[in-house]
Amino acid sequence: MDTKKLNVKGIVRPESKRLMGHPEYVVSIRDYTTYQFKPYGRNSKYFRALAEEKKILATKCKRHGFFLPPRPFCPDCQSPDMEWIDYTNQPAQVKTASICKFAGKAFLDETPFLLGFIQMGEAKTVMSSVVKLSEDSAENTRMLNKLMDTRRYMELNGRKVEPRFISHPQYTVRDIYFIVTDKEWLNTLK
Amino acid sequence: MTFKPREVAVIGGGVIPHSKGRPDCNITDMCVEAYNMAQENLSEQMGKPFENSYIDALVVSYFSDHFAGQLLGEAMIADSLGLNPKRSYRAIGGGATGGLGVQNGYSLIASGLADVVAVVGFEKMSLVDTAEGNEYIALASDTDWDFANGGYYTAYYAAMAAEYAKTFNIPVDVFERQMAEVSVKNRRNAQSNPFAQTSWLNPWCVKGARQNVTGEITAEEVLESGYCATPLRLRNCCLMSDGAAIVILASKETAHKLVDKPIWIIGTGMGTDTMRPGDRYDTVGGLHEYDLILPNEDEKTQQRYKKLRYPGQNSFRAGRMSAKQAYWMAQIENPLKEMDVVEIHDAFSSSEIQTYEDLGLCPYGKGGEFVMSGAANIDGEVAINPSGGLIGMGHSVGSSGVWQVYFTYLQLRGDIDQVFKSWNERFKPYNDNRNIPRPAQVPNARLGAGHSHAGTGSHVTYTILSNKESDLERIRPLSEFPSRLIRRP
Repeated sequence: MDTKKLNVKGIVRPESKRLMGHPEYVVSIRDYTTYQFKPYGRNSKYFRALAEEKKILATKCKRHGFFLPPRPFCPDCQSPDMEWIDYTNQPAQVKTASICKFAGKAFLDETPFLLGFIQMGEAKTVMSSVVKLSEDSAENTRMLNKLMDTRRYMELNGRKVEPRFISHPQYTVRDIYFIVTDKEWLNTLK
Repeated sequence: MTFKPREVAVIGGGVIPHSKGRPDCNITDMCVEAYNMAQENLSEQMGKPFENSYIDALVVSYFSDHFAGQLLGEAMIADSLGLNPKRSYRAIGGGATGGLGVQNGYSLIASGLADVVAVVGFEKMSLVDTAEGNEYIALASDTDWDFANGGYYTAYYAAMAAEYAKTFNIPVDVFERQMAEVSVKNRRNAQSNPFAQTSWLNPWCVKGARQNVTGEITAEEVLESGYCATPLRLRNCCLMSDGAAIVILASKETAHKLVDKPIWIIGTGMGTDTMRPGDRYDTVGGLHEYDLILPNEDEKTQQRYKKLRYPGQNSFRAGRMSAKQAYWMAQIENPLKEMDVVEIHDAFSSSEIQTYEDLGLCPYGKGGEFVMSGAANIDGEVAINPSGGLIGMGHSVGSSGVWQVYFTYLQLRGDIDQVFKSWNERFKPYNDNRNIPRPAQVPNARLGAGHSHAGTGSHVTYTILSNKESDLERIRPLSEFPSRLIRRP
């Protein structure tokens, strides 16, 4: 952390809600932003394949099966003897999902968006990902609103999806999203 | 030879009025204010001043250095309570931080490392706005894999709630109504608690807001509040809070020397699960596979559970493990019949419903019906969150698990109404002279518990209290807890 960032930039104004009607108290304003250099470690393989080869990699333990998100060590027996497997074309479906109308600060401008837990192939685990109903952002929003307005959002669970890779990858899980493929169902949201 | 842990009592405690913001308190002010309340109450009980020289160890619990704007805040707390150079530990583990603090205090005394322990929990969440706060909280999800998909914890709980409704075939409108009932109940209960963030009695409650953030709430109002993340609406969510709480624990011998009416800790369960909710296997018959059947679950229920996918994303295996341990330790065979009051970590209405089931108060899939039946009301079969819970009282993360135990302590002593009344008298100049609308006391409460829950269920503590000293004889050492998952050489 750059400790200069802890410099006080001022105080809140007396009418601020933060003072809860008590302007006699002083609430300081500090800058707390920072950059981090965080390694992905053994999972670097996944993020490199995702960004550079547009592939989804899972891992397989001989004894305990497939994992996506990949586990470089088997969570059941801690074996390092894991096989990396291309899972890109495995069948995928939304196991469960939630339409988010609110979010963490950095993601507020993306609302509403759909967070899904994706089941792929034989993986024992499910992976969180953004799921879209349409590539067209306005249409996607309209469809999500319709699912909320009509309280049909539970119909998302179990929908088949396919992965899409973004054009300018950033080496994060946001380098992919999934899109619902059931055209007939999607038409009911138009 | 069987190890016999030393017996531990709760002898006192305190809490501060919770609020969206307490600009009058920095982190040490909050903790000292809570301590002063405990000190005053203990001095009354003892008939002489309770001084900090009685305390030989401190546990400080706060969840987030980010919210505190401070690393090593525990040093400032020890200092402000005048406890240096005595021993002090920090307990930390997401939303279960407070519960972990209490159980760490218990362990210090049970093991003989200390005799009187103060457990202080706090959180100061007003440092940032709500959206930034959501991001801070979401740093307690896997930051490589889950955080970047919205930085939003509510979404994970929401997706788990949807999976729950799907697993147990609960129609959307029924489920939303059941969840609304949890909020209605907890907000109603909070109105008698002058320390609750949503209570008009609280000098620091939000006044004059456009939306119904203070006072009781109806099911219609819950259902009219917008979705935060489907199926969870705004009023299904707990509150971000500034708050602090404290409990003072003592060994049996010392408790008897200090006070007339200690409350006894007779069970401490603690369970864990994966950080990422997606990593929990959907194991058919998982309750059997992980040896998590409770003694009150009959043959027919057990047969049904052989087909149930568990835990996957529908239930909290850590909560069930904590319950199984605590009930085994305290020899509780039928939790619904025996438990009188349980403070549940209602981070969201959905998780309170899921937790009824994990705690064995009703079968899996029946939590919604349980709350709709009134069984969880103060006058129901087991009072759930008579304090108001995280939805009504507030969620001052590191202190929530501490005030759960403090309020339960007051319930089991039978003097919660008296304590609330005497504090409300002091608050009257700031709350328009309001009176407490109805009693908070659960009649004839004997067994109570606090349930403290982290992450999307990564750590759950369950701490059972009793007001009968004879219940101490029930205690079995957890080092002998039987489980297929534990091999004892």
